[in-house]
Order: sequence, then C-alpha cells, then structure tokens
Amino acid sequence: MKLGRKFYVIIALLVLVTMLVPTMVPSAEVPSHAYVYNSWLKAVPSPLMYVPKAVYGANNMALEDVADLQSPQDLFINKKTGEAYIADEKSNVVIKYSAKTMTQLHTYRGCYVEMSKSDTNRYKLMLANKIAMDPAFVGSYLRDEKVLDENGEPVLDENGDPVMETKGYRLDPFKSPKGVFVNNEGTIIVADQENARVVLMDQDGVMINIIHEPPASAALSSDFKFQPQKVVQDASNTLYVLCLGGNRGAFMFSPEVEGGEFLGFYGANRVRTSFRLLLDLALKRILPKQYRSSLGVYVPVEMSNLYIDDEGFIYAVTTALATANSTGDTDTIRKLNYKGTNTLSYRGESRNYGDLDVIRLNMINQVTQFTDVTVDERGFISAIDLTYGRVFQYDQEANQLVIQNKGRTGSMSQVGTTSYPTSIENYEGMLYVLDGNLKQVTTYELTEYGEYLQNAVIMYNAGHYEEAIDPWMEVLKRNANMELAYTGLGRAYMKKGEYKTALRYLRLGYDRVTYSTVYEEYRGAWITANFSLVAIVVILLILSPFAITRRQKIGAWFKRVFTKSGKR
Amino acid sequence: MSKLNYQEISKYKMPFVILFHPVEGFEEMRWNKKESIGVANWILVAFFMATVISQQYTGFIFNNYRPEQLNVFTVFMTTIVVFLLVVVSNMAVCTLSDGEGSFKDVWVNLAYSLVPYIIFLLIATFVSNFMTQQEGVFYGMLVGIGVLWTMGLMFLGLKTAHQFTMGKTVGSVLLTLAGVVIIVFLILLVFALVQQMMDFITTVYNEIRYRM
Repeated sequence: MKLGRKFYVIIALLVLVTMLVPTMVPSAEVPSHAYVYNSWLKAVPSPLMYVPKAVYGANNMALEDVADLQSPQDLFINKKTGEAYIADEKSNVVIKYSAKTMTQLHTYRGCYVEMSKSDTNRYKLMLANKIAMDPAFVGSYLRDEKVLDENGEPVLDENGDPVMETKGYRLDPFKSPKGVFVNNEGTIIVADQENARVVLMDQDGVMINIIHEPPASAALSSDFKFQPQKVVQDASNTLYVLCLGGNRGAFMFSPEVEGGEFLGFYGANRVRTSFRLLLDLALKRILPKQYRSSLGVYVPVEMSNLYIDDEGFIYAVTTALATANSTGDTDTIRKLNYKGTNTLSYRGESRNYGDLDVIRLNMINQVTQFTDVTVDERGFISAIDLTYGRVFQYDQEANQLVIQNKGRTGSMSQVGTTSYPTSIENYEGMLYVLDGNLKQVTTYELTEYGEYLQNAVIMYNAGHYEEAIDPWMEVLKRNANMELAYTGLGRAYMKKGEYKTALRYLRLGYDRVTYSTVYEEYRGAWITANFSLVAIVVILLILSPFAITRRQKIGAWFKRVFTKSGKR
Repeated sequence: MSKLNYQEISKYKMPFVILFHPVEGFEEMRWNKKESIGVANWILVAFFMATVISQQYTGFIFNNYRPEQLNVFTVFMTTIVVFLLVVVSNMAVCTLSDGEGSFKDVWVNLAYSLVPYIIFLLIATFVSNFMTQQEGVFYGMLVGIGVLWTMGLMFLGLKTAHQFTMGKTVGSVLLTLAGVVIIVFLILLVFALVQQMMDFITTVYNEIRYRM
C-alpha cells in the first residue's frame, strides 16, 4: 500500500479548508426560564417550580400618611402572627403588613423614647389646650401604663386593679433602616444604619433597648464605622448583626444589658486562597518590615444576609466578589451552627451555589451575588441573586432543585421579574420577593411540578426511597433532565431488590458510587445463578495457555483419534 | 521457546515479535528491510478505533466521557494527528542531532510500538463493563501496563532507528516533546493569520458591494 503523492496533497488541502471555517462566538445563554445543572455541569432546562401569584406594588400597599415605599431593603415575615415587616431606607420607616393580603397595619417612623415627667406634663398641656405644638414634641405619643414599683411589680390600688399612669414618649426617628427582625415575643429589632445603632422596640414602637457601636478593640480597625444592616435574633436572645464592611463575621450582642453587650464575632467567611495570596504570603516572609504593609491584607468577604430557622441554625449568604477575574465563590450559602461552623455540604464537599456559566459584561464577570436567603418549614433553602434576579432553591443536602426567573428588567417589568431584588421571605409555602427599585412585593406559589419535586426530595432525604417512587415518576414526566430523580428511583429499586431496573436508573442519574454497589449485588446474583457456566469458562481460561503452547500435539492427537483408521 | 530465526519471519509478523523481543526486532527491521508501512498504517487505524471504542464502551463506572459529545473528529485529532506531529517533530530534532533514521523508519517503529497499548486498552474496555468501583485498581493497572509497555517500545524504537546512545535518546525525546509544542503553536499562529486574512477579504468585499 504505497501512499502516493496524491494522498498527501489531498490531506494538505483538507487541512487548509478546515482553517478557513469562520470561528463561532460562544454564548453562555441559559436555555429557558428555569434550569438545573446536571452532573456534567451543564445547564439543562427544567419546569418552573414557582409561578408568580400576586404583585403588591405601591398602589395596593399604599401608606397612610407617608409617601410610597421608596427603597425597601428588607422583608421579614413573622410566621406565627402572619405579619410582614418592610424596612425602607429612603422613607426611613418600618411598615407592618398583614402577610396574606399585604395591607398595611402600622408605620414605625422610629422608636419612642420615654420622656421625663415634666416633658410629659408639658406635652399633655399642649394637647389639651390645642395650642401650637412645640416642634420638639412632634410625633410624640402618650400611652397608659401600669405603675411599677422597685421590683417591677405593678402597684395595685384598693380594689386590686393596677394603677395606671400616662407616660409620654418622644420619637427618635430611624435613619436609613436596612434590616428588620421580629422575635417570638413580638419585639421588633431594627438595624438603623445611619444612626449606627440597633433598636429593639415593642409592637407599639416603644423602645426596649438600643445597641450602639461596640467598644474599640483590637479586632476592629480604627476607621471602622458601625453601620448595622441586617439583624437576626436566636432563641437565647443573642443578636447577630451584619455591618457594612464587617468582614470578621456577624457582631454578636446580648440585649439583656441596657445598651447591649458585645459578645464577639460569629460565622466569618474563610479567606479565599488564590495563587496571589500564596505568593504574597511568601513575599511577606522575605521582605523587610517596612514594605510588608504595602502588600495589602487579604480579608474574608462579608456576609450579605442572615436567616434563622426554628431550630436555631443561621443561614448566611455571601455576595461573591464580582470583579474582572472572579469565578464565583464556593459556599456562598452556609448553614451555621451555634459555633459558627458551616454544616451545609454537598456530598461532604463544598460547592458553588451560584451560576456556573459566567458571562462577562462590561469587563466584569457576572457572578451570582446572593442578597438574601430564606428557608421554609420543610427545609428548602431559597436564595435570591442580585445579578439576574434569579431564585435558586436547594434542599438540606445542597442538592440543586431549580434556578428560575428571568433576568433583570428595567422599569417596564413583567409580572414575576425583578429589577433590584433586596429580600426574599417565605410564608405558608409561598415565596415573597421584595424589589427595591420597583418598590413591590411579588409572591410566588409552588407549581404542581414543584410540589412533586419537594415531596419526593423530602422522602428521599429521609431515606424513604420506595415511597418516593411515585412522586419521582411524576417529576420525570415533567422533567426528564432531573438527574436527582433518576438517582432517587435507582436507590428505591435497589432497596426493593430489583437490581436491573435500579442499574438502569442509576446510570441515567450518573450516580457511579451507588451503581457500583448495586452492580456488585447484581453480578453476585448472576454468577450464583449461572455458576456452572462461569465455572466452565474459568477452567477453560486457566487451561488455555497450556492448550496453546501444546496445540500441535493436541492437533495431532485429534487427527489420530477422529480420522478413519487405515493406511496413512 | 527456541531461539527465533529472524531471517525467516515475514514482515507481517514483526509487530508481535517486537512485543517480546524489541531490540532484536527493531534491529532486524532496520537492517533487513522488514519494515512495512502498510502494517504500520493499519496499526494506526486500529489505534484510532480502539480509542473510539474505549470512549464509547468503557463500563459506566469508569467512563468519564459524555456520550453525546463523542466527536470522531476530535478523536482523530488527538490520536492520528498527534502521532503525525510527534513523528515530524522527532525527525526535525533527530536530523539535527545526527540521527540516521529516515521518516519511514521512525513512522514504522513508533506505529509498531503502539500495539501493546491497543491490546491492553481493548482488554481494559471489555473488562471494565464487569467490574465494580473497588476493583477499579485493576482497570487502571491494565491501562497502565499498556502505556508503560508502549512507552518502552517507543524509546527503544527511536534508539534503534537513529542509532543513538541511551543518553542521546533521552535528550532527543525531551526535545521532541518540546518540538511538538512549538509546531502546535506555529499552526495556531497560521490559523489566526488566515482568519485575519479572510476577515480582511470579506470586509473589503462587503465595502465594495455596499458602495456600488
């Protein structure tokens, strides 16, 4: 076979032709409204898990005597009482709504601080005589209260009724309240950013405690400004406050003491190690002292929001850095225990919770930036992303359930899209998303697909694999891309003992570990069933080397035995 | 086994002789003209097909290839074209170091060296369908044996083809690898330049069209 000259010429021409094909521009566009990442880390379409139900905008959330919401920053829903609270940083108010209908119940413009007795009397006089109000008393408030003696017990009169007196309270207005939280007793806790304080007040707005900046310590840099943004409180009444620029974690305060007691930091992120960081570490050792500070300090990224569930776990989200080189961080959603350690892991490892296909726009990589997280009663973690307004939902095992919602829109918005999502909350199975630009709350309810998926996941995570078969089948009817469903079915059939079906599903789910376990069982069963055949094959294989080397002798023997006897 | 009489072995059996008697086999091929380009090319075809088969049919547990992304053209590039690059680079390097091998010598020797890799790859692919994850060690072992054997044969083949000493062979192998990188870089450069040229031509053409 001589390869002539023609052959080589043709090859060369083919190569030249392929070079002339124009290059195509790769585009990382998501396939549809909702998608999931499969085990090959490719975004595959998925049905929506939540559809928008209602939009509560400026029209139907009209405030009584204050301008419309201007820049709502935080939404908190008290699940026990069904009340929703929105903190608006431009109108400097916290508004209480009924969560079901989003009708306004009360506006808090600040907290009420107790006035001295003389001021109270002056105020009462002014009110009674209807004279012009002293501007210092504007927004003041009178309340009848029980008189308390030194032990805090109410003083009783002759009939056994508590003695009441009228107390006056002066309004101490909020300035840029960015975070709100309400505990089980109904105490409203507001992160009053520009006033550099955290205010605790009761349902009437009367101040219970005010927490100011912690004392200067070695832990904080000297130019650190205390600007609290988000706050949650746990069952032991400890407050966790996120501050602007507070990258050492959440500030822990105990409100038992008047003025609050600073307890330390909680749940700081790990510093992202990168090649540059290691390089700088090495350089720091080598350089003389005066040049070390110029290298810069590597600090962990600060958290952007917190959510506390009924068991006391605090879920923290971190906004990943969006720079020209960032690729998105891992563990941007964390479930922190009382020690501040992250307990949320995907099959024992950390994972990237954001979008994996990162588009570069205006020289910046559009990584996912979570602004808020919420967890419903069944443990499903929903986080909202600022970059594209997408809702990401995960379960307690960090399995990804869905990423949905269209990208950000401008002022002409479609129902269900967001422009600048600032907060997400859940109430009675519905998601509430607060938009800071469009000044509205959009509620989302679970679709049928979402219900099936969530039911199946709960049973799957609890280990009830067989009961999950029906919901998984329903999920697959609607979403053939859901690898979790195939794995779920595979494990269910494994438990049932139907190995062949299990293998088929596990293969579709790309679950190699479980596949291997099941295959071992399957193979063992097959060998036991066909043991005689296997034994014969094995014996032949062992004997084959001898047979091959002595093949001529064996051939001669056969000839002798099987040919007709007679003259050779 | 009795001593092989090398004079009698036909040229078509040489690849299998080389498996177990590399040095004598390569020498025999060189001095007694037992090289066959036809056989070498068929071995390359087998190499290509074995790679495709391993990507398709390796057992699920060990297969890291996405089935929908199996691109025969890509496999062709990574097998045959890489082989071609290595041979060309080797010729370039060894001619400069006073190597005596011709293009045909190097091509045939390297192609014949691929035989153990192909055989072990096919065996491993077949067996992987019946193994569990814990037995994965054996899969790696099979492939590893194939790779090491092939590398050894390639080394000896180059040594014989160019009549180098051991040290010089090592040096030439390293230079060959560097040479491959340089060739690829040059090809990409030419590719980019041709693209620019095409861009230029289309732009000029469009300009002229719209101005007419």
